[in-house]
Amino acid sequence: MSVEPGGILPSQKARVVDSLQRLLGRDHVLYQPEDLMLYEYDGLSTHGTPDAVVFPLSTEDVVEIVRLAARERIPIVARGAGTGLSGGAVAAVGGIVVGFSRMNKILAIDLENQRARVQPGVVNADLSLAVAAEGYYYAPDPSSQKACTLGGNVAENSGGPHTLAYGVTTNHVLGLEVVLPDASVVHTGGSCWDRPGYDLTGLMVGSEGTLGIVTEITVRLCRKPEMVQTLLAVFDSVADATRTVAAITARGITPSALEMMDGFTLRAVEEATHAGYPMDSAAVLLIEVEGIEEAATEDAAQIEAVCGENLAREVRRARTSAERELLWRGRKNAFGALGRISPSYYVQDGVIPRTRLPEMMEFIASMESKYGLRIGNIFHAGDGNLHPLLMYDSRNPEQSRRVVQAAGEIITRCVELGGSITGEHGVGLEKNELMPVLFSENDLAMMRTIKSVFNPDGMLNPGKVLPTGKMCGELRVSAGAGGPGDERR
Amino acid sequence: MTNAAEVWLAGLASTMGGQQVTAEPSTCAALATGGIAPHCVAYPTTPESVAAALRFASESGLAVIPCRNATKLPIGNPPRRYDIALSVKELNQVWRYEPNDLTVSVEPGMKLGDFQHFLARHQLWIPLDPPGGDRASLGGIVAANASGPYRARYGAPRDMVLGLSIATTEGKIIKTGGRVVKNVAGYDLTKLFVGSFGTLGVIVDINLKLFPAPACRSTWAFHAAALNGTQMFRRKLLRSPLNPLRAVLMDEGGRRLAGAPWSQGSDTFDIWIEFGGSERVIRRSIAAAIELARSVGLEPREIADDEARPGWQRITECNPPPNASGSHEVLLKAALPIDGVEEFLAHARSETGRARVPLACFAQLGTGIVRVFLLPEPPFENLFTLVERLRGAVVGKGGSLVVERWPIEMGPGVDSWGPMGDDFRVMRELKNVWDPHGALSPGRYVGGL
Amino acid sequence: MKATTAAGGGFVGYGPGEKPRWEEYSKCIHCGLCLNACPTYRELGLEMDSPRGRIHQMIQVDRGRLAVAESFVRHIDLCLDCRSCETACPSGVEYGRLVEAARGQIQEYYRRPAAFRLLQRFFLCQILPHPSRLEKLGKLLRFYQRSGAERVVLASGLLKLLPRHVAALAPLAPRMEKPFFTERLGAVVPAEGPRRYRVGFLAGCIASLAFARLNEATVRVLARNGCEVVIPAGQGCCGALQVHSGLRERARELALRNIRVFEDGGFDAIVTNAAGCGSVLKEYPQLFEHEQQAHYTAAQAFSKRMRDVTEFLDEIGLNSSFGRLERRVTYQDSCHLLHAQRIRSAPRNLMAHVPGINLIELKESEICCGSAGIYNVLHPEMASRLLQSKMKRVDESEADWIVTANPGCLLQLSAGVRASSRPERRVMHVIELLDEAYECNSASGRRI
Repeated sequence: MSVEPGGILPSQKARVVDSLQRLLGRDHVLYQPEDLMLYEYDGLSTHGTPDAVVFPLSTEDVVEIVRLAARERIPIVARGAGTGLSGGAVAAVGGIVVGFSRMNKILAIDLENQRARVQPGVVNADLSLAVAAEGYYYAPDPSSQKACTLGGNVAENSGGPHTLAYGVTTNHVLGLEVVLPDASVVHTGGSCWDRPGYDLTGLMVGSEGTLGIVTEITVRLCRKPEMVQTLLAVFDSVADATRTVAAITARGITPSALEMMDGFTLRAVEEATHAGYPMDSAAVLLIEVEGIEEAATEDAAQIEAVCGENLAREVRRARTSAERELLWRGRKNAFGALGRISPSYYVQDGVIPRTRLPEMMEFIASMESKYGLRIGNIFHAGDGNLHPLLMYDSRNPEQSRRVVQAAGEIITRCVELGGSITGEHGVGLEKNELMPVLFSENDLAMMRTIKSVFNPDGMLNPGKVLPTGKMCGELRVSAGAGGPGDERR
Repeated sequence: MTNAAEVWLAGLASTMGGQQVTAEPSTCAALATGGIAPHCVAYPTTPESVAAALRFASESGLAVIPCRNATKLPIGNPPRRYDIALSVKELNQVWRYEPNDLTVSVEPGMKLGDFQHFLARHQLWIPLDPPGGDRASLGGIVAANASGPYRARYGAPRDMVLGLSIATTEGKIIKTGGRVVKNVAGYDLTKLFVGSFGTLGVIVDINLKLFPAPACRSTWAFHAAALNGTQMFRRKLLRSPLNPLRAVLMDEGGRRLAGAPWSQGSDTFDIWIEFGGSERVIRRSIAAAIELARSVGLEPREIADDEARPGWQRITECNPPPNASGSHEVLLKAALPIDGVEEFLAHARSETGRARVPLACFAQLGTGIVRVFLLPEPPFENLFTLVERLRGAVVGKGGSLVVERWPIEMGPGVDSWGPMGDDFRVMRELKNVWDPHGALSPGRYVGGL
Repeated sequence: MKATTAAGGGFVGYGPGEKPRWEEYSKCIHCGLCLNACPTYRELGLEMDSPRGRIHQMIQVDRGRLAVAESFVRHIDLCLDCRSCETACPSGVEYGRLVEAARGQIQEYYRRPAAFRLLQRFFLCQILPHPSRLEKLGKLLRFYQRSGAERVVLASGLLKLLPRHVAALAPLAPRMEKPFFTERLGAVVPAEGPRRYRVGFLAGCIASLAFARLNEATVRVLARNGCEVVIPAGQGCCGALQVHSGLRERARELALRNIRVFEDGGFDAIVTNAAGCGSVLKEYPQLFEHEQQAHYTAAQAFSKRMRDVTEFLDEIGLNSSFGRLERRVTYQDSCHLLHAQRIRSAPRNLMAHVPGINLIELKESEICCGSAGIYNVLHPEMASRLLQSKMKRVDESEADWIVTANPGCLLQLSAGVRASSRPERRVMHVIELLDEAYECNSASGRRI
């Protein structure tokens, strides 16, 4: 069914590069080794060198690139800003990387219909910025939102802290223009809801560039809330904090964000950002509620009560937007803050039902002692989306090995508790061999069938999402920003 | 009944392991669609027997239509073939209910009304008000991605289904998605099944996200003399921080269906808005909405709870109007740009006026979805053209128009779904992959799938 | 060094001396959050011209995969060293330090075209460090500008005969002001009213010639805020341009000279009005990390007292006896103030004290205008692309005045305004705005 492609043959290269240059202009085709090595990595790590990197300006350019690649039987990998955390944008087996940095126009903004039409290279935060003055924003807010592109968000179905109330990328994408591997262009969904037919938009979102190359995106815009209340609840035990998470939802409150940070992490964050987090606490919850003023203040008061009942030492409410920004700055810079205290770390992404948080945190703590590692915890507690950060020194191969094992156990435990192997970072080539832990052979067979409909020769982003069968149930952790397999270190 | 049919009936019954298969004519007739009744109705009691039945049908070249309470059977084109009605009536358990996780697994035969009742114990609910109302089964709602005016605030089944179990025509049961609220592992096959009208497989289990129910509710009507008033009001409302549970614009025909006796004027319109939340939140929301309404000349009026509840039911359930003779009504669902509903209403009113067909409209504010009842008298000769013209207007705005009900007595109808786009060939390939022998609702779905 | 097969040709690895080190570059987790903060990435969309990509290239050189050759040099050169990426970086990567170390290596081990080397040596080593030579050149230039010769040359198209880089200089060349501020070296200006602080003023090399009026204004404003202002003789160029060009040894000489001059003045603070100078002055210790301990300690003592003038005034509490200035004003962050010194609110706070000023936030004010020291001379194309983007934002702001906090930015923005549809727009330093506001409050308009 699918041929495993393997980049460009040396005999092809000159011909292919020449064709690409004629198509796009010399400046927009990279093929020298010193340039290509800049496209070996994404936010995860280093994984494979492309044979060429090209920068189309239009859908027509993409069509021609795909046509050429199909004719020459060369794999194609789409790339936004390369901030992904599962290796989605790297050319695992070589081939042509299609960079979208020039297709970065906001094509249309239609506020009365709460829509925007954009090219895939538009940076997530730039879209929100473009409509901010009118009181609108684009809701999904991955931590990399100042750099990551909407095309990448669509490919990975990105989340973020505020997706607890507003949903992830798939809930905000209405329509797509997609170039299929046979160089045909199809339009899925549209600017209105409920176009009859199968929800191909929903299928494309999160398909990690293995079903088609998205060249245009229609998204929903949301109104900014009247009021936002940001609270910081301080706990003396991790268990109290995690219990509070389920207690808040049990009270019928849906916060717009509910983030947790353990004591170890928050001390590192505090030293880096001076956000005012208490240095001696065991855990904090960062909670945000919003809506009309009455709703936000009532919810905030209720949350204060719930935190109190669950033995919070203190609950602070940000009084000004500057205070709010400060609290969030700590959260958003947390990964980096840990980077300051550990030469390397491996960030994992798993999901569990939020009521299982207390036992999961105990399990993670047991992994620390079992493997002799430090694990920081900072995550989207409200939707049970964990991000354990396993710290180590990449120059120590033995320790690196232990990190991979511990991460593997944590992810497997997530599945045992009824969760998932990834909540927002994607499968990519980090976790495709773990897919059988979550899905049966029947489920996977169905996914393969779907892939074969769109991408019969496997030329689009080969080696991602589905298990290759070459490794067995392992994390392909060349992982972690600067993770154990990060070649650069 | 032919000999051949008797043979496969016996085969089906034995495949399903002695479960109930009935060929009783009145039971079959009740599940007819497009003027065609099935040869039998099967009531599988386990997901496995659903899968076995599908495999049997697929291998025997038989056609199956999954169903429960027949609320969705009128939607879609007449089937090319129809042998077995596969009722999921017996699959109606709730399990893995985790109120603190706000998640649940429920079988497709569970009726929406029963499910809401079940959830109410923990002040939870599933914010859906689809056509068919309480009688609609969750399986049908998910298969049709059916929603009502709650959608603007809460989304559609598409946004609430976390995962599904699907019985396939190969006789397998596959799992899509998961049970947690955030999950990006693998292809999102869940999206493919939601809204696929049972043409790819049969849903045997649904993992849903639940929501805290609003503590209080209050409904207000805002009366407008003309559509430009409702348009100004809608725009202001959508730009305001207010976030009502639902809001619907209706014409006088809609008002009559909703049973709102106080408003007068044949060319006037009403907007119903239901607010939810704490009393303080509702008070503030109402005050703000009234201010908005007055600023554009709309008259507010509170609807008493005992009027509001049945009123909303009539608005959302889309049942045949009580006074009209039940069989003579066409139900259309137009999906328009949010800002295009008033223009469409005006257009629909002038087209139907010219064709002398009475109508009733319910337009959701915030989604652009309009449900239009046409209430024609015989003969129905110009109806086909009328619907096509309305469809043309909607499609011209980038939207779609689905015929959700077209009584068979009125003769062959318009294609239920309308024109397909350039992605249709992908849909056809997907259908071929999942249902190579055309066992599932053949001919009923888009483009004759 | 050994011969090589590394990409790009040339030598493998770094040579002896300062270089990008593992301890620093390993902090980079290649998350990519810096990309959209980087002016050159925003313009080109190429990973090679992003901070993450440049760090990756530095690492590849260290690992022997990439040579310090044409490709590496081109991408490192194209960096503005605006350090916007440091603000965006969650991991605390000290990018400026890395790129300056890489430039040191390039300066040391990469052979540039002879003409380039000649000009660079002449300007950065023979002119800037020597106040008297600089002054002579300044007088020459002043004569050229005032005599009308400049107009003749500009109109004649003679510039087209010059190499591209030199031709680009013409519209950017600072106007030489009269009198040069160098005349004030050695002066002590008393505080107005009771003396609250004693500050040393670092006047800057080119600034003393081309921004003499700004320097005068700075002294006036400081004096009005109770500062006795000392302008020590013997001070000179801060070395910023040399650091940015990788001429680290020359920079150290200049640093030591300034450190000595200000060492014993008993100053509460040493103040500059040039953000670009200020960031290097504050980072003098970095230059001596691998040098004599005594020099390092002296550099630390110096940098501890170093303040940008806006930072200092905001700290001490501004004398706000201002007159009213009814103006719509927008503020362009100077990169070396915002990103290198992390000073964002001080200049805004100061302007907020002036009655009548309507401060409109400039969209993307944190993105470099393209000035970046002598970047606009070396990379005129990129600089002018950045300037055009900047002027578009300025137009959107509809401001009457563009305010910034660094002489280099003033030059670049002025060039932008002159070429724009509203050439009457004023470009000014924060201090000039304050000075004007004080002036219009004092009936006599007295001068000190």
